[in-house]
Amino acid sequence: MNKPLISLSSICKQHSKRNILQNINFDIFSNELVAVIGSSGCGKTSLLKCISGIEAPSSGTIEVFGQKAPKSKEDWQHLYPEITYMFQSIHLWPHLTLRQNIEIPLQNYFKDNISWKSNLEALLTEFEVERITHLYPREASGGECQRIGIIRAFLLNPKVILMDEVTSALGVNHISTVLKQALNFKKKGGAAIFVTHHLEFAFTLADKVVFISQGKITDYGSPQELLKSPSQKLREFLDESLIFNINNSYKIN
Amino acid sequence: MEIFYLLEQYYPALLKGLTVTLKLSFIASATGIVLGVLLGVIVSNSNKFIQILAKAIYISIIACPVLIILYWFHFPFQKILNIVIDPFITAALTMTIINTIGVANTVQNAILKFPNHYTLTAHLCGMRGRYFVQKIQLPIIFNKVYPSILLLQVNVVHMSLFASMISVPELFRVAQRINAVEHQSVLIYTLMAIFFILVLAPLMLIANKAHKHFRYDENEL
Repeated sequence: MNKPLISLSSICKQHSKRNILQNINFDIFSNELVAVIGSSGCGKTSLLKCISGIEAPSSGTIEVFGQKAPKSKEDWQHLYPEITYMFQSIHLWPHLTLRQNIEIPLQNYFKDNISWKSNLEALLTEFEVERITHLYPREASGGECQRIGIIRAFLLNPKVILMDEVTSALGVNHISTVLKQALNFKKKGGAAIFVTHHLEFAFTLADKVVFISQGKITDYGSPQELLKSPSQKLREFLDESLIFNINNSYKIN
Repeated sequence: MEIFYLLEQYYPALLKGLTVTLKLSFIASATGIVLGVLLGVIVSNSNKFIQILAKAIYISIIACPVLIILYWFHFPFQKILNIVIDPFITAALTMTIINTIGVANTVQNAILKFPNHYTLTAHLCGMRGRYFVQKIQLPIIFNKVYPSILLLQVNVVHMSLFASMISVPELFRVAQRINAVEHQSVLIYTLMAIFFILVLAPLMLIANKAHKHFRYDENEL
């Protein structure tokens, strides 16, 4: 059987005596897109931060590429950018132009191999930022910076990409470009975990959906499985979000 | 037309005073920047005790009026050690110490408060070690500190005026002497004001522009 790229078992995270994550178990395989959904403050971002080593879980085990995840942040650095994380608010380096924000890490990572250059131009065009690459981040809008961060993350060619609400500042056309890239990435063997509030995005794109409520996974499976037999908590969440009608697949309001 | 008479008459003295002012300012600026940057880097990489000590010294020096420090170095300090130091050297030393401490504090703050999200983003993009320092950390710190350091140098030039109080023949002292002879205070001090505005305003404009030009997101993740 295919080995998981990332495996989480019994992950718990406490912060200020509050249980942020409780007994989280699931695996992420290559060629898989996993959507993490749940209401605000349920622990989605904490989960991604634990998976990426940005935060350490209070207990439990994380395995990355078949090996136990490192304990120290320094050791985690050796796993980047094979695992990479896209923040909700992408922090581009302010002293570099948008183009340099992409090129400088790529030049460092790929050294003399410049095959990424042609992909870069294609992605800049696809994300409609090719004409603004000379600008500095402060001169660009939040959405433009977000697109630059997304391009950079995909070009680094990671094995696992963690996306935390990366589409929050994007318009519909750019969200579909992200979806297309995510699907291409998956086809090439990558795995992506994305936290999103766009439920239509989660249920149409993802192979698996993880629903977290108060730090616990209450529902995990394919979108069809979840929609077929959702837990009470998921049902309430979907009803509240006014997008889904459980009995008849979904309707968009 | 009296202004041209004054300039013509006192040209050599004014030039001499200007040279002393510029020398004082240059010594205090150049030495203060080099030592301040070094000190800032060392302190920011030291333990908490050293950092608190450095902060206490900075607060004490900044809280104390420049004139008091200058007088202290000129009178009690030399008396305690039973030495006599040229007033020019005393003034240069005082200005250098104050500038060094100001620059060190600016550099130390920039290093210690370097936004973690820029480091984290760089690590997530596979940038580490020297490449990260060269391409990300140093340029961001430089952009952050250099406008503040420029403004500190404006202060250094201002401080040079205090040197006249311990008989250093800098520009302001020369101007006072000319006034004592010519009784043209309006003209002489207006001339001084114009001179300092012409010299320092561009520096302040550059610093302000740089402050506006470079802003980073200080919100942590």
